[in-house]
Amino acid sequence: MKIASVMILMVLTVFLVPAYSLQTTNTLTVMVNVQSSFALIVNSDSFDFSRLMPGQTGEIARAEGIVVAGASSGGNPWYLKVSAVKPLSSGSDFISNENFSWYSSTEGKGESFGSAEKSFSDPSNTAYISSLDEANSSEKVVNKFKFKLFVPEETKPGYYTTTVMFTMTE
Amino acid sequence: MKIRNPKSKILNKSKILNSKFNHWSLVIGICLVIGAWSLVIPAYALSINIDPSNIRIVQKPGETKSGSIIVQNSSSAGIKLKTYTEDWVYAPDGSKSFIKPGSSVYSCSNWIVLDTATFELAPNEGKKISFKITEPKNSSGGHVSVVFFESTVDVREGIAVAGRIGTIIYQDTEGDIKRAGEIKDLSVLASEEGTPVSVKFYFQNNGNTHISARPKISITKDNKTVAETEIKPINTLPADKGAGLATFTAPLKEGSYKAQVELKFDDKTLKSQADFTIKKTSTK
Repeated sequence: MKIASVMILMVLTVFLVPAYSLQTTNTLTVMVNVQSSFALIVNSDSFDFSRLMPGQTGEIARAEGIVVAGASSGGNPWYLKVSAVKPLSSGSDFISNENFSWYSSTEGKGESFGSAEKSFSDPSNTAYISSLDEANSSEKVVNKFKFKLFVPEETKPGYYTTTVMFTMTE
Repeated sequence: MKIRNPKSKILNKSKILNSKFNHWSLVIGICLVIGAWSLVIPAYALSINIDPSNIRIVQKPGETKSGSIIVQNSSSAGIKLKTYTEDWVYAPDGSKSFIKPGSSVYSCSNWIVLDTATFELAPNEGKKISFKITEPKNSSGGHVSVVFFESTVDVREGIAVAGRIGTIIYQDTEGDIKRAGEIKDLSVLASEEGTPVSVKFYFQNNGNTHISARPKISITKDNKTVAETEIKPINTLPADKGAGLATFTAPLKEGSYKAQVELKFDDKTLKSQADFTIKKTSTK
Protein backbone atom coordinates (compact mmCIF):
# COMPACT_ATOMS: atom_id res chain seq x y z
CA MET A 1 0.00 0.00 0.00
CA LYS A 2 2.80 2.34 1.02
CA ILE A 3 4.90 1.33 -1.98
CA ALA A 4 1.94 2.06 -4.26
CA SER A 5 1.51 5.52 -2.72
CA VAL A 6 5.19 6.30 -3.17
CA MET A 7 5.03 5.13 -6.79
CA ILE A 8 2.01 7.35 -7.50
CA LEU A 9 3.77 10.31 -5.88
CA MET A 10 6.89 9.71 -7.97
CA VAL A 11 4.88 9.48 -11.18
CA LEU A 12 3.04 12.69 -10.33
CA THR A 13 6.31 14.42 -9.52
CA VAL A 14 7.90 13.30 -12.80
CA PHE A 15 4.93 14.56 -14.87
CA LEU A 16 3.90 17.63 -12.96
CA VAL A 17 7.26 19.27 -12.24
CA PRO A 18 8.18 19.74 -15.93
CA ALA A 19 4.64 20.94 -16.64
CA TYR A 20 5.04 23.73 -14.09
CA SER A 21 8.57 24.50 -15.19
CA LEU A 22 7.20 25.24 -18.71
CA GLN A 23 5.22 28.17 -17.39
CA THR A 24 7.05 31.42 -17.69
CA THR A 25 5.76 34.13 -15.34
CA ASN A 26 3.01 34.11 -12.80
CA THR A 27 2.01 37.06 -10.69
CA LEU A 28 0.86 36.42 -7.21
CA THR A 29 -0.40 39.34 -5.16
CA VAL A 30 0.25 38.89 -1.47
CA MET A 31 -1.45 41.26 0.94
CA VAL A 32 -0.90 41.41 4.64
CA ASN A 33 -2.27 43.83 7.17
CA VAL A 34 0.48 44.36 9.71
CA GLN A 35 -0.90 45.78 12.94
CA SER A 36 1.17 48.36 14.75
CA SER A 37 2.31 47.49 18.21
CA PHE A 38 1.49 49.66 21.19
CA ALA A 39 1.39 47.43 24.20
CA LEU A 40 1.33 47.58 27.97
CA ILE A 41 2.18 44.52 30.01
CA VAL A 42 1.88 44.26 33.80
CA ASN A 43 2.86 41.05 35.59
CA SER A 44 0.55 41.23 38.60
CA ASP A 45 -2.81 42.63 39.63
CA SER A 46 -1.95 43.15 43.30
CA PHE A 47 0.74 43.35 45.95
CA ASP A 48 0.85 43.60 49.71
CA PHE A 49 2.87 45.15 52.51
CA SER A 50 1.72 42.49 54.93
CA ARG A 51 1.10 43.64 58.52
CA LEU A 52 2.53 46.97 59.59
CA MET A 53 2.43 48.75 62.94
CA PRO A 54 1.94 52.51 63.28
CA GLY A 55 5.37 54.12 62.92
CA GLN A 56 6.67 51.27 60.75
CA THR A 57 7.79 51.38 57.12
CA GLY A 58 7.04 48.44 54.88
CA GLU A 59 8.26 47.51 51.45
CA ILE A 60 6.70 45.30 48.78
CA ALA A 61 7.75 41.76 49.61
CA ARG A 62 8.13 40.48 46.06
CA ALA A 63 11.85 40.57 45.14
CA GLU A 64 11.38 41.63 41.53
CA GLY A 65 8.62 44.11 42.39
CA ILE A 66 5.91 44.79 39.83
CA VAL A 67 7.23 44.26 36.31
CA VAL A 68 5.78 46.63 33.74
CA ALA A 69 6.75 46.47 30.08
CA GLY A 70 5.90 48.76 27.21
CA ALA A 71 6.39 48.28 23.48
CA SER A 72 5.70 50.43 20.45
CA SER A 73 6.33 50.43 16.74
CA GLY A 74 4.46 53.67 16.07
CA GLY A 75 7.54 55.89 15.86
CA ASN A 76 6.51 58.36 18.56
CA PRO A 77 8.16 58.25 22.00
CA TRP A 78 5.92 56.71 24.66
CA TYR A 79 5.51 57.59 28.31
CA LEU A 80 4.88 55.37 31.30
CA LYS A 81 3.32 56.96 34.37
CA VAL A 82 2.52 55.58 37.79
CA SER A 83 -0.09 56.94 40.18
CA ALA A 84 -2.24 55.96 43.12
CA VAL A 85 -5.87 56.56 42.19
CA LYS A 86 -6.69 57.61 45.78
CA PRO A 87 -4.96 57.53 49.16
CA LEU A 88 -4.85 54.16 50.96
CA SER A 89 -8.14 53.96 52.80
CA SER A 90 -9.98 51.79 55.26
CA GLY A 91 -13.56 52.99 55.53
CA SER A 92 -13.32 56.67 56.39
CA ASP A 93 -9.71 56.40 57.58
CA PHE A 94 -6.84 56.95 55.20
CA ILE A 95 -3.07 57.14 54.91
CA SER A 96 -1.93 60.18 52.94
CA ASN A 97 -0.10 59.59 49.63
CA GLU A 98 2.90 61.43 51.10
CA ASN A 99 3.62 58.21 52.99
CA PHE A 100 3.26 55.97 49.95
CA SER A 101 6.18 55.98 47.52
CA TRP A 102 7.65 54.18 44.53
CA TYR A 103 10.99 53.72 42.86
CA SER A 104 11.98 51.79 39.78
CA SER A 105 14.76 50.39 37.66
CA THR A 106 14.76 50.01 33.91
CA GLU A 107 16.25 47.71 31.31
CA GLY A 108 15.49 50.30 28.63
CA LYS A 109 17.63 52.96 26.97
CA GLY A 110 15.22 55.82 27.53
CA GLU A 111 14.89 58.22 30.47
CA SER A 112 14.00 56.66 33.79
CA PHE A 113 12.72 58.84 36.61
CA GLY A 114 12.47 56.22 39.32
CA SER A 115 16.05 55.87 40.53
CA ALA A 116 15.19 57.93 43.60
CA GLU A 117 12.18 57.23 45.78
CA LYS A 118 9.16 59.34 44.81
CA SER A 119 6.01 59.92 46.79
CA PHE A 120 2.62 59.36 45.17
CA SER A 121 1.71 62.89 46.26
CA ASP A 122 4.27 64.24 43.76
CA PRO A 123 2.27 65.44 40.73
CA SER A 124 5.17 64.60 38.42
CA ASN A 125 4.46 60.90 38.00
CA THR A 126 6.38 60.03 34.84
CA ALA A 127 8.37 56.86 35.41
CA TYR A 128 9.85 56.27 31.98
CA ILE A 129 10.19 57.99 28.59
CA SER A 130 11.18 55.72 25.74
CA SER A 131 14.11 56.46 23.48
CA LEU A 132 13.49 57.17 19.79
CA ASP A 133 14.77 53.68 18.93
CA GLU A 134 12.42 52.06 21.43
CA ALA A 135 9.53 53.98 19.89
CA ASN A 136 10.22 52.30 16.57
CA SER A 137 10.83 48.70 17.53
CA SER A 138 8.23 46.35 18.93
CA GLU A 139 10.61 45.09 21.60
CA LYS A 140 9.42 45.11 25.18
CA VAL A 141 11.08 47.62 27.48
CA VAL A 142 10.98 46.35 31.04
CA ASN A 143 10.65 48.58 34.11
CA LYS A 144 10.55 47.11 37.60
CA PHE A 145 8.68 48.99 40.31
CA LYS A 146 8.98 48.76 44.07
CA PHE A 147 6.77 50.40 46.66
CA LYS A 148 7.23 51.64 50.20
CA LEU A 149 4.68 52.62 52.80
CA PHE A 150 5.17 54.48 56.06
CA VAL A 151 2.31 54.09 58.50
CA PRO A 152 1.98 57.30 60.56
CA GLU A 153 1.78 56.90 64.35
CA GLU A 154 -1.79 58.15 64.52
CA THR A 155 -3.11 55.64 61.94
CA LYS A 156 -6.12 53.67 63.15
CA PRO A 157 -6.05 49.88 62.79
CA GLY A 158 -7.72 48.55 59.65
CA TYR A 159 -7.25 47.04 56.26
CA TYR A 160 -6.06 49.85 53.96
CA THR A 161 -6.28 49.52 50.22
CA THR A 162 -5.93 51.52 47.00
CA THR A 163 -5.16 50.99 43.32
CA VAL A 164 -1.80 51.71 41.74
CA MET A 165 -2.32 52.66 38.11
CA PHE A 166 0.22 52.36 35.28
CA THR A 167 -0.61 54.60 32.32
CA MET A 168 0.98 54.30 28.90
CA THR A 169 0.44 56.72 26.01
CA GLU A 170 2.46 58.43 23.31
CA MET B 1 -34.11 -3.05 34.39
CA LYS B 2 -30.89 -3.62 32.51
CA ILE B 3 -28.63 -6.45 33.60
CA ARG B 4 -25.05 -6.23 32.51
CA ASN B 5 -22.72 -9.12 31.81
CA PRO B 6 -20.13 -9.08 34.63
CA LYS B 7 -17.41 -10.32 32.23
CA SER B 8 -18.10 -7.62 29.71
CA LYS B 9 -18.12 -5.21 32.60
CA ILE B 10 -14.58 -6.32 33.51
CA LEU B 11 -13.52 -5.99 29.89
CA ASN B 12 -15.19 -2.63 29.64
CA LYS B 13 -13.53 -1.60 32.89
CA SER B 14 -10.10 -2.48 31.53
CA LYS B 15 -10.93 -0.55 28.34
CA ILE B 16 -12.07 2.36 30.44
CA LEU B 17 -8.90 2.10 32.52
CA ASN B 18 -6.83 2.03 29.33
CA SER B 19 -8.66 4.97 27.87
CA LYS B 20 -8.48 6.73 31.24
CA PHE B 21 -4.76 6.04 31.32
CA ASN B 22 -4.47 7.48 27.82
CA HIS B 23 -6.52 10.51 28.83
CA TRP B 24 -4.46 11.02 31.95
CA SER B 25 -1.19 10.70 30.08
CA LEU B 26 -2.54 13.25 27.60
CA VAL B 27 -3.57 15.58 30.41
CA ILE B 28 -0.20 15.15 32.18
CA GLY B 29 1.57 15.72 28.88
CA ILE B 30 -0.36 18.93 28.25
CA CYS B 31 0.33 20.07 31.81
CA LEU B 32 4.06 19.39 31.37
CA VAL B 33 4.09 21.35 28.10
CA ILE B 34 2.18 24.26 29.68
CA GLY B 35 4.46 24.11 32.73
CA ALA B 36 7.58 24.18 30.58
CA TRP B 37 6.08 26.98 28.45
CA SER B 38 5.25 29.02 31.54
CA LEU B 39 8.89 28.80 32.59
CA VAL B 40 9.89 30.30 29.25
CA ILE B 41 7.04 32.83 28.92
CA PRO B 42 6.33 34.68 32.16
CA ALA B 43 2.67 34.94 33.12
CA TYR B 44 1.24 38.43 32.86
CA ALA B 45 -1.82 39.68 34.65
CA LEU B 46 -2.37 42.26 31.95
CA SER B 47 -1.10 42.41 28.39
CA ILE B 48 -3.00 44.70 26.05
CA ASN B 49 -2.17 46.04 22.63
CA ILE B 50 -4.01 48.87 20.91
CA ASP B 51 -3.95 49.98 17.30
CA PRO B 52 -3.57 52.83 16.50
CA SER B 53 -1.81 54.73 19.28
CA ASN B 54 -2.98 58.07 17.86
CA ILE B 55 -5.69 59.28 15.50
CA ARG B 56 -5.94 62.61 13.69
CA ILE B 57 -9.45 63.62 12.66
CA VAL B 58 -10.18 66.51 10.32
CA GLN B 59 -13.80 67.64 10.21
CA LYS B 60 -16.07 70.59 9.60
CA PRO B 61 -18.01 72.28 12.42
CA GLY B 62 -21.27 70.40 12.90
CA GLU B 63 -19.94 67.30 11.15
CA THR B 64 -19.82 63.80 12.69
CA LYS B 65 -16.97 61.44 11.88
CA SER B 66 -16.37 57.84 12.91
CA GLY B 67 -13.26 56.02 13.99
CA SER B 68 -12.20 52.77 15.55
CA ILE B 69 -9.47 51.33 17.74
CA ILE B 70 -8.51 47.65 17.88
CA VAL B 71 -7.85 46.34 21.39
CA GLN B 72 -6.09 43.02 21.71
CA ASN B 73 -5.73 40.93 24.85
CA SER B 74 -2.35 39.23 24.49
CA SER B 75 -2.39 37.51 27.85
CA SER B 76 -3.36 33.94 28.66
CA ALA B 77 -6.25 35.06 30.86
CA GLY B 78 -9.45 36.93 30.12
CA ILE B 79 -9.59 40.62 31.05
CA LYS B 80 -12.29 43.15 31.81
CA LEU B 81 -11.72 46.60 30.41
CA LYS B 82 -13.46 49.91 30.71
CA THR B 83 -13.10 52.62 28.13
CA TYR B 84 -13.52 56.36 28.53
CA THR B 85 -12.14 59.69 27.34
CA GLU B 86 -10.04 62.22 29.23
CA ASP B 87 -8.46 65.58 28.48
CA TRP B 88 -4.74 66.15 28.54
CA VAL B 89 -2.21 68.95 28.63
CA TYR B 90 1.54 68.82 28.30
CA ALA B 91 3.66 68.45 31.44
CA PRO B 92 7.08 70.15 31.60
CA ASP B 93 8.83 66.83 30.85
CA GLY B 94 6.91 66.53 27.56
CA SER B 95 4.59 63.82 28.86
CA LYS B 96 0.84 64.24 28.97
CA SER B 97 -0.99 65.09 32.18
CA PHE B 98 -4.47 63.63 32.16
CA ILE B 99 -7.38 65.64 33.49
CA LYS B 100 -11.16 65.40 33.63
CA PRO B 101 -12.99 65.48 30.29
CA GLY B 102 -14.09 68.96 29.36
CA SER B 103 -11.66 70.73 31.70
CA SER B 104 -9.16 71.87 29.05
CA VAL B 105 -9.86 74.69 26.57
CA TYR B 106 -8.59 72.39 23.81
CA SER B 107 -10.77 69.46 24.85
CA CYS B 108 -12.81 67.38 22.43
CA SER B 109 -13.43 64.60 24.98
CA ASN B 110 -17.11 65.38 25.35
CA TRP B 111 -17.58 65.35 21.58
CA ILE B 112 -16.62 61.67 21.47
CA VAL B 113 -19.21 58.91 21.91
CA LEU B 114 -17.75 55.41 22.37
CA ASP B 115 -19.86 52.42 21.35
CA THR B 116 -19.15 50.67 24.64
CA ALA B 117 -18.14 51.60 28.18
CA THR B 118 -17.03 48.17 29.40
CA PHE B 119 -16.16 44.93 27.68
CA GLU B 120 -14.39 41.64 28.23
CA LEU B 121 -11.71 40.01 26.14
CA ALA B 122 -10.95 36.29 26.23
CA PRO B 123 -7.28 35.21 26.04
CA ASN B 124 -5.76 36.40 22.76
CA GLU B 125 -9.06 37.96 21.68
CA GLY B 126 -9.23 41.28 19.88
CA LYS B 127 -12.13 43.70 19.55
CA LYS B 128 -12.79 46.78 17.45
CA ILE B 129 -14.08 49.66 19.55
CA SER B 130 -15.87 52.25 17.43
CA PHE B 131 -16.54 55.87 18.24
CA LYS B 132 -18.19 58.92 16.76
CA ILE B 133 -16.97 62.47 17.15
CA THR B 134 -19.19 65.46 16.47
CA GLU B 135 -17.64 68.91 16.33
CA PRO B 136 -19.99 71.64 17.60
CA LYS B 137 -21.09 74.16 14.99
CA ASN B 138 -19.48 77.16 16.64
CA SER B 139 -15.99 75.69 17.23
CA SER B 140 -12.70 76.32 15.47
CA GLY B 141 -9.02 75.32 15.57
CA GLY B 142 -7.62 72.12 16.97
CA HIS B 143 -8.63 69.98 19.94
CA VAL B 144 -7.31 66.91 21.73
CA SER B 145 -8.45 64.01 23.86
CA VAL B 146 -7.44 60.46 24.78
CA VAL B 147 -9.45 57.24 24.65
CA PHE B 148 -8.31 55.04 27.51
CA PHE B 149 -8.65 51.29 27.91
CA GLU B 150 -8.30 50.46 31.59
CA SER B 151 -8.15 47.05 33.25
CA THR B 152 -10.67 46.54 36.01
CA VAL B 153 -9.34 44.59 38.94
CA ASP B 154 -11.29 43.07 41.78
CA VAL B 155 -8.76 42.87 44.59
CA ARG B 156 -10.26 42.66 48.05
CA GLU B 157 -6.98 42.24 49.89
CA GLY B 158 -3.79 44.16 49.32
CA ILE B 159 -3.14 46.92 46.85
CA ALA B 160 -4.66 46.52 43.42
CA VAL B 161 -2.52 47.09 40.33
CA ALA B 162 -4.28 48.29 37.19
CA GLY B 163 -3.06 49.40 33.80
CA ARG B 164 -4.46 51.72 31.18
CA ILE B 165 -3.29 52.41 27.67
CA GLY B 166 -4.55 55.23 25.52
CA THR B 167 -5.08 56.30 21.92
CA ILE B 168 -4.37 60.01 21.60
CA ILE B 169 -7.00 61.92 19.58
CA TYR B 170 -6.02 65.02 17.61
CA GLN B 171 -8.99 66.84 16.12
CA ASP B 172 -8.62 69.63 13.54
CA THR B 173 -11.33 71.90 12.15
CA GLU B 174 -11.22 71.71 8.37
CA GLY B 175 -10.22 75.03 6.81
CA ASP B 176 -9.51 76.66 10.16
CA ILE B 177 -6.12 75.34 11.18
CA LYS B 178 -3.09 77.52 11.67
CA ARG B 179 0.23 75.83 12.35
CA ALA B 180 2.79 78.48 13.25
CA GLY B 181 5.54 78.93 15.77
CA GLU B 182 8.97 80.30 16.54
CA ILE B 183 12.24 79.25 18.09
CA LYS B 184 12.91 81.20 21.26
CA ASP B 185 15.72 81.66 23.81
CA LEU B 186 18.39 79.67 22.00
CA SER B 187 21.38 79.38 24.32
CA VAL B 188 24.61 77.40 24.31
CA LEU B 189 26.34 76.16 27.41
CA ALA B 190 29.96 75.63 26.50
CA SER B 191 33.19 76.39 28.27
CA GLU B 192 36.46 74.82 27.33
CA GLU B 193 37.95 72.05 25.22
CA GLY B 194 36.88 68.56 26.19
CA THR B 195 33.74 69.55 28.06
CA PRO B 196 30.21 68.79 26.77
CA VAL B 197 28.30 71.43 24.82
CA SER B 198 24.60 71.86 25.58
CA VAL B 199 22.22 73.61 23.19
CA LYS B 200 18.94 74.69 24.73
CA PHE B 201 15.96 76.34 23.07
CA TYR B 202 12.19 76.61 23.19
CA PHE B 203 9.54 76.20 20.56
CA GLN B 204 6.62 78.58 20.98
CA ASN B 205 3.37 77.36 19.41
CA ASN B 206 1.70 80.44 17.90
CA GLY B 207 -0.94 78.48 16.01
CA ASN B 208 -4.35 77.19 16.97
CA THR B 209 -3.70 73.45 17.01
CA HIS B 210 -1.32 70.76 18.21
CA ILE B 211 2.17 70.85 16.64
CA SER B 212 4.80 68.14 16.69
CA ALA B 213 8.06 69.80 15.65
CA ARG B 214 11.07 67.63 14.74
CA PRO B 215 14.35 69.27 15.79
CA LYS B 216 17.79 68.86 14.25
CA ILE B 217 20.68 70.55 16.01
CA SER B 218 24.08 71.01 14.44
CA ILE B 219 27.37 72.67 15.36
CA THR B 220 29.35 74.30 12.59
CA LYS B 221 32.81 75.80 12.35
CA ASP B 222 33.74 77.90 9.32
CA ASN B 223 30.47 76.76 7.64
CA LYS B 224 31.40 73.08 8.04
CA THR B 225 29.27 70.80 10.21
CA VAL B 226 31.35 69.26 12.99
CA ALA B 227 28.51 67.67 14.98
CA GLU B 228 24.83 66.99 14.36
CA THR B 229 22.00 65.30 16.20
CA GLU B 230 18.26 64.79 16.10
CA ILE B 231 16.27 64.84 19.30
CA LYS B 232 12.73 63.85 20.24
CA PRO B 233 9.89 65.84 18.68
CA ILE B 234 8.75 68.87 20.65
CA ASN B 235 5.00 68.55 21.08
CA THR B 236 2.92 71.58 21.95
CA LEU B 237 -0.65 72.74 22.19
CA PRO B 238 -1.57 76.35 21.23
CA ALA B 239 0.32 78.94 23.34
CA ASP B 240 2.59 76.20 24.80
CA LYS B 241 6.35 76.66 24.98
CA GLY B 242 8.13 73.32 24.62
CA ALA B 243 11.79 72.91 25.56
CA GLY B 244 14.48 71.27 23.46
CA LEU B 245 17.90 70.25 24.74
CA ALA B 246 20.77 68.61 22.88
CA THR B 247 24.06 67.69 24.52
CA PHE B 248 27.18 67.05 22.47
CA THR B 249 29.82 65.04 24.29
CA ALA B 250 32.37 64.74 21.49
CA PRO B 251 35.22 67.11 22.38
CA LEU B 252 35.49 70.38 20.43
CA LYS B 253 38.76 72.17 19.94
CA GLU B 254 39.38 75.79 20.87
CA GLY B 255 37.68 78.22 18.49
CA SER B 256 34.50 79.95 17.37
CA TYR B 257 31.42 77.90 16.50
CA LYS B 258 27.78 78.26 15.56
CA ALA B 259 24.94 76.22 17.04
CA GLN B 260 22.09 75.83 14.55
CA VAL B 261 18.60 74.65 15.36
CA GLU B 262 16.27 73.49 12.61
CA LEU B 263 12.66 72.67 13.44
CA LYS B 264 10.37 70.98 10.93
CA PHE B 265 6.61 70.58 11.06
CA ASP B 266 4.20 70.12 8.15
CA ASP B 267 5.93 71.81 5.22
CA LYS B 268 7.52 74.47 7.42
CA THR B 269 11.14 74.76 8.54
CA LEU B 270 12.19 77.16 11.27
CA LYS B 271 15.86 78.02 11.76
CA SER B 272 17.82 79.80 14.43
CA GLN B 273 21.49 80.01 15.31
CA ALA B 274 23.79 81.24 18.07
CA ASP B 275 27.56 81.84 18.19
CA PHE B 276 29.71 80.39 20.92
CA THR B 277 33.35 79.98 21.77
CA ILE B 278 35.34 77.07 23.11
CA LYS B 279 38.29 78.17 25.18
CA LYS B 280 41.58 76.38 25.53
CA THR B 281 41.73 74.00 28.48
CA SER B 282 42.88 75.97 31.49
CA THR B 283 46.12 74.66 33.02
CA LYS B 284 46.93 75.19 36.66
